[in-house]
Amino acid sequence: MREEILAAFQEVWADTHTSPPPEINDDSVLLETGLDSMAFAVLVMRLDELLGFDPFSEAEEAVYPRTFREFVAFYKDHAVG
Amino acid sequence: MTALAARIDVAGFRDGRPLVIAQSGSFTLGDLAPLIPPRMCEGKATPFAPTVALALRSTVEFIRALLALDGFAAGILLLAPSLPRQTISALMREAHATLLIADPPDITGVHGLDSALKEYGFNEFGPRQDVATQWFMTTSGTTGSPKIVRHTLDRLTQSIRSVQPSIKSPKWGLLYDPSRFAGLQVVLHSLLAGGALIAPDRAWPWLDQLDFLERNGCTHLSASPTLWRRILMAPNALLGSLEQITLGGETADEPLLNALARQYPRARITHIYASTEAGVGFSVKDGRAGFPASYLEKTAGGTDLKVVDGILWLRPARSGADEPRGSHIVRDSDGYIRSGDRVRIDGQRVYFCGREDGVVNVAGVKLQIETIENIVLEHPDVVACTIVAKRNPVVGALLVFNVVPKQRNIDKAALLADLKRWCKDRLQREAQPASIQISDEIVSTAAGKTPRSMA
Repeated sequence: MREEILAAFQEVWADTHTSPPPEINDDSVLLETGLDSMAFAVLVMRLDELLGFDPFSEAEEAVYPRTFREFVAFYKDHAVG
Repeated sequence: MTALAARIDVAGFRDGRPLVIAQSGSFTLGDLAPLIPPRMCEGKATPFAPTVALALRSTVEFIRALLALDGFAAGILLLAPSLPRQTISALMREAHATLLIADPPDITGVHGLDSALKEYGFNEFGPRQDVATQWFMTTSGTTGSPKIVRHTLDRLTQSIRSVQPSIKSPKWGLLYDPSRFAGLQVVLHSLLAGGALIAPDRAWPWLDQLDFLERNGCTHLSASPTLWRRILMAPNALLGSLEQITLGGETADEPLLNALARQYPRARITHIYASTEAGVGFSVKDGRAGFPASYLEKTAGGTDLKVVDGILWLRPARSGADEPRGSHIVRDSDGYIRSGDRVRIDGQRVYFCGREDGVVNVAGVKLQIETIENIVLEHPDVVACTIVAKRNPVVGALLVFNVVPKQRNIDKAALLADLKRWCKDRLQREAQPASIQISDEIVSTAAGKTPRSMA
């Protein structure tokens, strides 16, 4: 799951930037990765197509992950649930 | 009709209280408008300056220009500084603006604020009558080419109650471009309702802008749902001193409203429905999505509402000579303006359910789907294109393009790459495809209509 999310991130990055994507680790702050709201929205849509679910729309309460670790954990939680 | 600078003067800012806080410092009314003209008398006067276009990056310069020009110039055309020069020229022609003030003034024919004011002798005038300055604002367009809407300061400020500043004056954060409707509302509120404006540089990274608001004790913040989601993603739970949270520009959903209430338990949460066409709208303060059905009988603020065939129509509180005008505004015989927003009445609540057919709101930008389809159809290898809006939890909706190539055996990967470039060159960010599907068949509904409803 983590690798799939990372690959999707890099793909979305390449669509909107000419520079190479930043190095992402678990503690990376999502707002500091350089993805703006539009790119982040596209990432969530790509992952929906790839994984078959969108935890942001499925969650009963809104969740706003702050780090890459929280983002991946949010997807993992919904994959098993 | 009292000019903006004189209105602020009345609001009691002569005591050196900062009006604007920016990276370059704090600015009082005296710093921003050193030569406020004496109180004007009512009546029509001949403008001292032509209609002036402003394309300013600096919020401080922008406010200085408004204070200097309102009541003095025939009109003020507010333009986003990021607009291409060609678009600026076209809009200036439409508004009959003959002078452009920009920063930095490095293009031929462009003035800096100070040189423009000097040229038109602003500082040399003594007591004078006030000019009823026209305010020309722009609405966002699908291709990024904006449309002009004409306002007056009276209409733009009709929902603002001027108060004397006090110790507990609000500190308004500015995250919007002040040349656009939502940003101008924040600026005018902060100037007239006894507060101060905290204006971070909009070119800064997002977290730096939020940090600037935090450090300067921002108490009042207005942002779109898309931006509020981005604020909630900030790692250090910034903006702890917020007292008033305002959402506008897009439909506010209940999960977001609940998340804001959890994060900022001390803050009041208001979501605003505003239409640039109608000039104003109304606000909802109960923290729930949609608005009470009782508003259809009587609204706070005096804007009349009605729903016709599932579309919301608004009638501004006062109609007359200063009502908003623009070639794209649809008004019925009772003076109601068509908002283009679809609504659903469910018991005692009215919910927004997107724009009427053919328009989609992506991250607060209203997009004409047919215009985008026609731009894709201009591509030499495309024979058909349909666009579907897909619901999205981050920005409300995203666009998915279905494209049919002229030649079935075309290199699809190459066409895909070329289409992405094509769209990037011709469409603004929000109108670009989140995904492009290339297929051999035209996707259409049984009735033969393009399927545009939210999937």
